[in-house]
Amino acid sequence: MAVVNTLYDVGARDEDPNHTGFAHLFEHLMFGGSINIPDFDGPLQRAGGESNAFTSNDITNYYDVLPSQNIETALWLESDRMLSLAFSDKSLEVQRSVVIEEFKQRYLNQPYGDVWLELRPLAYNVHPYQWATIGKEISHIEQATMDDVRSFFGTHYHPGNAILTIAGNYENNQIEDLVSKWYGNIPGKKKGARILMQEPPQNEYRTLTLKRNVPASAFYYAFKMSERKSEGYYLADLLSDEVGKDKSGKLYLSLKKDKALVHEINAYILGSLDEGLFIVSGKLMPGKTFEALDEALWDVLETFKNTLISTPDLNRLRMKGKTSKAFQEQGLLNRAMNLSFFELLGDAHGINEEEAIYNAIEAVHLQDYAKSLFNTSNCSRLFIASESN
Amino acid sequence: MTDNLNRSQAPSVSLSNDINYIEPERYLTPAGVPVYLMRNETSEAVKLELIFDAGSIYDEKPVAGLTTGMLLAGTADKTMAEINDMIDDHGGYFNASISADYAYLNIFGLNESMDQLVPIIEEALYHANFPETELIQLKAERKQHLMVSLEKVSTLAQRGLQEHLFKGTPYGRINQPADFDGVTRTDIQAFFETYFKKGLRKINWVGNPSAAQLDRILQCFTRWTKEVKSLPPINYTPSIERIEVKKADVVQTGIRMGKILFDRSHPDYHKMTVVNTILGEYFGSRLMSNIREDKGYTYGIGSYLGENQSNGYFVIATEVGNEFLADTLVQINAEIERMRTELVPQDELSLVKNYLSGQFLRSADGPFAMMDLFSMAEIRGLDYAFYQNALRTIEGITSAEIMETASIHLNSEEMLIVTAG
Repeated sequence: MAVVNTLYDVGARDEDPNHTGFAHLFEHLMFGGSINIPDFDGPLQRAGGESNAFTSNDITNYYDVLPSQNIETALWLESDRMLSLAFSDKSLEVQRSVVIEEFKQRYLNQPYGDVWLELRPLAYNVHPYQWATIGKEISHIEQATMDDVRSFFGTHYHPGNAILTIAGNYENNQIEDLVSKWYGNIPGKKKGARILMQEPPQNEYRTLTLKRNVPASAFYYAFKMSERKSEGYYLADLLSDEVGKDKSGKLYLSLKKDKALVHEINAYILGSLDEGLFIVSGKLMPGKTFEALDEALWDVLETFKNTLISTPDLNRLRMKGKTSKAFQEQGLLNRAMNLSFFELLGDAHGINEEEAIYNAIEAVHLQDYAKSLFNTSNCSRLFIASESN
Repeated sequence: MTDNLNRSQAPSVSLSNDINYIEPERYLTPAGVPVYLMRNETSEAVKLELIFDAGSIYDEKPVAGLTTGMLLAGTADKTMAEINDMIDDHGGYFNASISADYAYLNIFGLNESMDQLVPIIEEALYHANFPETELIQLKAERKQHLMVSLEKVSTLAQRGLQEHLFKGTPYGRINQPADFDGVTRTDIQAFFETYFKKGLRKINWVGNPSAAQLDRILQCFTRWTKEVKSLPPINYTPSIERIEVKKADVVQTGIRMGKILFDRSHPDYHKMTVVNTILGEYFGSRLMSNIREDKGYTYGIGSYLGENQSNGYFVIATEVGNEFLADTLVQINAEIERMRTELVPQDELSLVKNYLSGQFLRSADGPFAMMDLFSMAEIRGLDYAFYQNALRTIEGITSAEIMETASIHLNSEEMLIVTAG
């Protein structure tokens, strides 16, 4: 088996504020045929392969998994759609409709589905992380034109903006020859400069309460956290495990087990390339108030600022990190995607250096980070109040 | 760099159905429970999966699910938090889940920590005492989780299908939020004694233990037995009708269509796999091509062959914009009719054969996937020959056989249709 992974350095953060959702819509169009090949999936399936892709606020990632002897089929297809798309009107029309149904299915027709459409603009005033990858609103998708598609392709889809990772049992020269054959004559371009609106320091507590027809009231606390390439990212990651991962997290023990204020509570990070969000979210028990929750939650967060986490707790985090790492490395596709992402961060080899970074973190580092993180002036709080409770 | 590269010409492809199915090592615990060990020699990652004959069909109330959710929730002398800390000390993770037939407890860790991790978990499991306070919280949590799910048209349609397709059988029972209220600690304890302590069906182990570690882990499970439970024969009398579940203020409608079919031991199973793939199992399937890629009615549509201990079934599932509901049903029926009355063109057939052969290869990537393949066959009394026969059938199947299979087994007049919206 082999994997061909192509990461394009373009995501929802690169969109025009009046044409949001475009990077993701474009990902759909990449399956609508390229300049020399009318259909992307058919030939790949004929080679025993399968393909998919995802778009985030930062990147767009395409992957093909196929029997290793047929790898040339994937390189042929991927290189042709990097060269140029077919720009078919039918494909644009249909995929606009598919993405609108996706918008409905995942964001409108689900309880709590619109949370990210509300929380992002609360947390970010100017940075393009203020919209979700699906876009701000359906009308932006409806209005996408073929000119937009051509221009987006020209700007972001070329060798200078892509990272190609091939995983499988091959000799290097075999792959070098094939890549040079299929990609060698695609015109190279320089990577465009990325000038994004910089989010000013928050310096205020932002709160919003919305009434919704949902069975339980829900809460979302979003704290601004460090960008992916900084040390603070690793501190936030480890801290989120200690605060609220699984049933050992301190918030779970206090707010659920001791005080029975919540049904569920979690802490996790959105590992964005730019300044990201450390999220604490959950759902209230019936009859409990947001006020009681708010007080108890801040009390727990204060303890991380005032006390060092214990040595056994820190050891547990490290041990669990070691197990997680072993499982993340399972499977060829995972490894290919991880390598591409680290190459985007600057060096694929970075994947081997993370464990040492985590192991170097001491309790005092986590405490210092908690002090900078858990402040109302760094927090955006969204309450979804149940109309039935 | 190559000049005159002809980019419209596809590179040649070749396929090989030579998948190396790896037999696990087979052991027994002192009490006779089978342990299957798949060696993972390239990584320290370990998964130990305990499978119990303790699925939701064995009780009238949602007892099985609540029991499974409380397996490591405390003993007479340890709280849940203390047990979790001990597991965390060794970098362990666990999760417990349930299906209609079985309950699963998965333990994740590294080879080096198994000698500590497994005894901690076995001890906490064997002496589980299901504290009342934990039960109250879990009931409230499950109840609320169900209420959230019931807001989704996909859940409503799926439940409607389950209820009517498996009507009058244990598989057709669905829980209402109020059902959780009636479950007591005594129910849970009784269920645990009967279905867990005496129901350890088998252990699947992916890892790389030394001989000594292997022996210690086998000894660990001495107290657990496997009593064979024979299911009473189940007669399926599904209602073949159009069920409409009403849900106000939604922008999409959930659709499920289904019928009782047969399980993997049926002679037509592999042929039906091909029929199902062409109709709705892959991205290029007829349902996807027509209803998503041509008409844009949905984000996704698919079909699958499902199975439980006593039977198999066929399902088509999608969510579509409300305004597309009527035409979607027309199109689904048209695609089913086309499968039953028209020969699949050679080009499409060869594509699907190649795609399926690749799917079998992908499903065998690495020791964790290999163990899943082995376990899914073994639990139905089959072995790897099942997959090898599937590959041979797929390779040789003709368009005429596909049409015949579809015409026998996919009669849309026998299809239950549930819509929710």
